[in-house]
Amino acid sequence: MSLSLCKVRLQEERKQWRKDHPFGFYARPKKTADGTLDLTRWDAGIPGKSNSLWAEATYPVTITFSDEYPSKPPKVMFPPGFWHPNVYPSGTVCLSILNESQDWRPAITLKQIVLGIQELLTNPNPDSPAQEPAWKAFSKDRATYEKKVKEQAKKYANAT
Amino acid sequence: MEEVPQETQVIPDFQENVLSYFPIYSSLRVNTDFTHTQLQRDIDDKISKTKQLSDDFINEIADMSPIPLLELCREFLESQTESYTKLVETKFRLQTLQTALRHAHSSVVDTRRLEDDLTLENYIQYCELTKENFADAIIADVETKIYSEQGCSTILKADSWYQYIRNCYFVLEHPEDPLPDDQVDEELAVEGGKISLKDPFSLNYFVEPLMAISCKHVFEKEHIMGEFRDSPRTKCPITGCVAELTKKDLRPDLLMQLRVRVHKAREKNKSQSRATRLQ
Repeated sequence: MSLSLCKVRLQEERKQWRKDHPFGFYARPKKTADGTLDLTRWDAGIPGKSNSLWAEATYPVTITFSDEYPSKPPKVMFPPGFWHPNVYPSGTVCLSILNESQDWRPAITLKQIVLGIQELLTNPNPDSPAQEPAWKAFSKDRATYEKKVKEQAKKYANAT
Repeated sequence: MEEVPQETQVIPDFQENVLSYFPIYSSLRVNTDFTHTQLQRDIDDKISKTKQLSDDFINEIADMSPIPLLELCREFLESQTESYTKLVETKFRLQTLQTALRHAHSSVVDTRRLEDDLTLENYIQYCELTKENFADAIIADVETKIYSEQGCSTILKADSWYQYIRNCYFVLEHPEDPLPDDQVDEELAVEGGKISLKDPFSLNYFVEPLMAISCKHVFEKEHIMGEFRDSPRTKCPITGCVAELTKKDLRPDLLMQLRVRVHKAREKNKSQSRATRLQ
């Protein structure tokens, strides 16, 4: 039997990422218990844009691909409790390009996904709240919001 | 023997009254059959031979890198394109004539039923009739269709093999470049001015590429067909493209297939010469 489309695509995504990826980002498949790579589960790091509240830190996400990828989008998760208006309490990212019934297309690459999330960090979408605290603060109490973002940035600060 | 009453025979003045329209005599057999089966078969045969010869030729040279005698290849492919164009034009003209004659047939039959044969008695009546003769009508019909050239250029534009052979040489020389002066290709996935030779699903080189006729995006057959498993239509898999696709919208993309072949042959050649240099 030939390799499934999902596996073929993920191998190619890995090859392309290793060949070239945006500065400051990382993405690698997780290792399974027996030491082999699990191409369907990746660890990735999204650097905050410089000159933003999110700067100088790299935020960890896990990206999970189902067998139906790339027909269906992968699921991207920050650590639970991540502070951002468009991140669910579970850590799941709410982003139109990651939603099958919205803007997901099979042609969207891993690189485009992580760049999309980086963009979302600094530009939250107030129309699709995913958690109460960060969304409320973002829309009504900008000072608290910014303080929390900066605290979180310290937590994930880049090693100097 | 009965005597013919002389007073009823009125001879019209032929110099004063000139007939411009001639009704068709009811006793005349109307034959507008212009099927010319043999001629049609000959044209189709020549078309398929031209295709076969060109396909064989391209097959021979596509995997060669570098391609030998480039200038001769170009001349050959250009002449094949020209022959094909002429054959398609001829076929189109023949068909136009056949259609015109078929149309004429029914109108001849209908009109003849309504019109009396021309006699001395009704000659003057017919003189007053200003109507186009059948032969003139047929000629006019055929001429407008053929000489407008609209018909044939539309046919060629939609002819995928014509588009293929016409652009073959360019692709042999520049497998990754968009076709010159072609709006079609501006829509293709272009990275750094190059055309992507890889399927957007698997990110692997195309094997059996299909092009969507509406948005011109290209996909690997196996993978785009997978999108129709649950639904007869799907959004175009390319980011930002608003086209909705069905299976019927997809056509084999011969040119893309050739691009991949030529590109792969070049890559192979490059890595081989690199290997020789290292030795």
